Amino acid sequence: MLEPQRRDQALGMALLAPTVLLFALLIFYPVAQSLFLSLHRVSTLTLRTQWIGLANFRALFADPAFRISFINTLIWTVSAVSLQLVLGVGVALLLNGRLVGRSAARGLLLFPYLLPTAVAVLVWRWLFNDLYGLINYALMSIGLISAPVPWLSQSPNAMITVILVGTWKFFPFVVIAVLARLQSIPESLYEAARIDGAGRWAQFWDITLPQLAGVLSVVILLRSIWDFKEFDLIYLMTGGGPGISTQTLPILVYRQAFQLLNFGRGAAVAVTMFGFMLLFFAVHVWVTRRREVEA
Amino acid sequence: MASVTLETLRRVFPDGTVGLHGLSLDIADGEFLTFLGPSGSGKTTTLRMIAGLEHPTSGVIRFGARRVETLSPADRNVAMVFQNYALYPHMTVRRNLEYPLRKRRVPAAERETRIAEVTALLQIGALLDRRPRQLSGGQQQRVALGRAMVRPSDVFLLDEPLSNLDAELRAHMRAELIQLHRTLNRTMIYVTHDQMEAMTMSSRIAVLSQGRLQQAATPHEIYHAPANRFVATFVGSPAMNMLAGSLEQRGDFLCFVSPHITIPLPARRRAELQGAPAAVIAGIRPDDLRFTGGDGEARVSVVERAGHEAVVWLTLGAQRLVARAPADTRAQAGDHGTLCVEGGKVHLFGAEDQARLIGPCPA
Amino acid sequence: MRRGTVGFALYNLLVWALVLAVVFPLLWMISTALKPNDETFAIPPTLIPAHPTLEQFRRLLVETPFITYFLNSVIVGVCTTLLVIVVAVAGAYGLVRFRFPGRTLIAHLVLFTYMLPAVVLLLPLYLTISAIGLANSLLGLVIAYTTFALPFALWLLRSFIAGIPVELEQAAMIDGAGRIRAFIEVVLPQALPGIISTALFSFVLSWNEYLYALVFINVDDRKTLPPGVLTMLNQNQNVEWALLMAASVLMSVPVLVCFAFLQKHLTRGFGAGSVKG
Repeated sequence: MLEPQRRDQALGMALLAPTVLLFALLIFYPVAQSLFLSLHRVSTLTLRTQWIGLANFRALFADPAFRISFINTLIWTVSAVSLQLVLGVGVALLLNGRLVGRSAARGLLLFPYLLPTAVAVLVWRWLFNDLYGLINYALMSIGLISAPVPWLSQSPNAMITVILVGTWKFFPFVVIAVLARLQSIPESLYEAARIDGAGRWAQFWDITLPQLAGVLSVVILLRSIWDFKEFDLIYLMTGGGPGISTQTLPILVYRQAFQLLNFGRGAAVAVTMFGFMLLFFAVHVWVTRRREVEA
Repeated sequence: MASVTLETLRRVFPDGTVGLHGLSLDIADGEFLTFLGPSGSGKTTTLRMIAGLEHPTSGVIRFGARRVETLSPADRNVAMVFQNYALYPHMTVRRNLEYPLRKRRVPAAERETRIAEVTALLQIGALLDRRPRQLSGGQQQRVALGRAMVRPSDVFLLDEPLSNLDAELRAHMRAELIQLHRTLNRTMIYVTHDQMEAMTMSSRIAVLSQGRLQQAATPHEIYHAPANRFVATFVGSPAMNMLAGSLEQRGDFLCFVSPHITIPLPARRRAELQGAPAAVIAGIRPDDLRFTGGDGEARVSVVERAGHEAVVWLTLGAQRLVARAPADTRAQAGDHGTLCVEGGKVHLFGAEDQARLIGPCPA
Repeated sequence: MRRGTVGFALYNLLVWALVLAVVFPLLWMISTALKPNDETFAIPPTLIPAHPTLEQFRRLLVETPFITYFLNSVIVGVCTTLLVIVVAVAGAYGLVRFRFPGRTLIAHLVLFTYMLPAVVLLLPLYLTISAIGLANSLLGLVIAYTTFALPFALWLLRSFIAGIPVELEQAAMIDGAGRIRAFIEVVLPQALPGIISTALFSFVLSWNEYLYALVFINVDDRKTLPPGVLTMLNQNQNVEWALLMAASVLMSVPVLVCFAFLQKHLTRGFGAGSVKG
């Protein structure tokens, strides 16, 4: 029989074995496979592979479509995260006051976040419909526009629309995280500041914001990662169009691999994205490490 | 620097409970007044209303001649030390001290001088560049004091500032606060549930219970002439012994009579007791109760020896009593004995209204 | 701001108007689902249906494969959740309470897999699942879903289990229970609310998933709801919006039911970013 400490270790490893096994088979192996495929030309019919080294990558980076997809991804991510942040923090601050039925309000605000993206897309495409959508009707009746706006079939409208819907769908995450932090700030800090002569703005600047710094850095990072890899929302709203004006990197992967059946090229984009995720991950670890040290 | 006047201050909470039932009190300029009472007594509510953090439902608060009860905290020119210190966590100690001065737009040179004075007085110079989370409890407390002191304020408020410190540090800080009061010479209003703090530091104590003022007097008066049963039992440790009984004439003497105990009262007290109700409560401080071992109805249940003194817990019939004894007492659990007390040292309270009838005779 | 003042009333009004604005698309969804086709396309559009009807729902259930899609989604959701919970509870417990070589590495890996984009795994997973003959099968989909459901469940369960005082197990072990016994009899009951929350979250994640469901299954009668309902969008020239809205309503119901159960736990877990975006 093993000694207690060794037995403990063995038990720990046994508990984690199924997890590690599943990860290895379903995550690490496929990632390795992606890497493999990206370095080969793959015949769709025979699935035979032919080593071509970095040719896929060279072709990729020279392809203007890749550059456009990359820029679109940046535009989408930066805009969506910024709007989600501003709206999320603003709403959280509003919810933090003496609101009647705060938990009900908080629950209702979570609906967009929990809904299937498919449902959100259907609803918003219906709202943004050129001829029969409520939004065009409402804007025309107030007089803001004189003719129906093609929200999704024209550029740059499409990207703007997608960003707006993405903000609506994901900002509740920011609200919940920020609100939870706001409610844990001790009231006595604000009281001390009032006694010291701080007005409303000074209280926000000197107490609320510094207390939010931690949660905000985590939220920004997570939302950046998640918006960066978002496929469903954009693909279902516009399919990457019109043309490729809303095509982001994830959509490019899908297109290359499953519509153009260019497995090698699709894998190359995927590997490029993977590289970015490694970067994000490194930043995340660094930020969390720093916060733990400070605490 | 100002006196503080409270006129029928009343506070009803949003859920309907009455926190304070109309408190009136005059606090002199430069006085150290302590609001003493158990939790729920209204003491913290009163302090927060003086600070401006809560508004009274009705009543008036004056600083000197100025009416302040509708003013915001910033406009009242008060300083406050919080129970959990409320130091700004992301600012260094120096910036914490500077904050009240910055908010009042005090010029930089004067800020430096004031901070230097305060740091010298409280000896926190070495801590100036640290953050609050890097400080011990005692250090944080000094910084909180410093931040309150750094401005010349009319009134200095302290909300149970010592309750988070360990016993030794607390004793040390009590002495420091007394010294501080002397140096600053400001009106200080202190809130605590610890009667030791109240007794040692205050010029006067205002005892509160369930939102009502029980007595406002010097520590000496509070201890020796408690106005009612609540004050008598709240102040003094171990608590005063309380015996229910009646006043009866036994021969030439007016006596307090209860099962197992008859205490003749000195003649000079008879006059004060004219018109007293028959049913009374006698209060005897443990220091005034003497236990002698031997034949008797009193029985020792526990003896606590604390080095310099001993406390003897007794039962007399159905009654539990406690008496102080010299450290070398030979009393032991199970011993029997007799108790005696000088009639002149007994407090008497009406059984109905619990108010004081007579206090002990002056020596 | 005190109760009963004008400022208080205005503030409440403003905030609730905002909440209403955010939730409005869903109200519009319900409103449209209750309209007959001609009213759906009427101009001006009516906020509250003038002739409310359940016709769209009836058509949805009778004339389209909606019920099939729904059942497929339920099967995939339940199976994924069961599989993931069993593996993740064991794994989370191991990560939190045991020390063994490689522990921190595995913890970091869990975090990293949580961040992997689905597209990176899409192609190789598809090839692998096809290779073992599970293309176009619900089982293949369940296996694919563990790639994101498992890291997420591990993350959530880790913080739940870490929140249970270790003294409880220690007391049980002093009373004579072995580690596994202590886990089953003491930790598991304590962790039950956390496990239920994680299961519900897992189910919601699986229910909402689109991309893998789209790629892995091409046969109509095995499709799950998201790709199934969306093909209805692209099928005809004249899109039947009211029908689609009815489908949307029914698709959302299970999510909202799960959410009602999860209400209390949501705020606690959120601080650490526990729900996939």
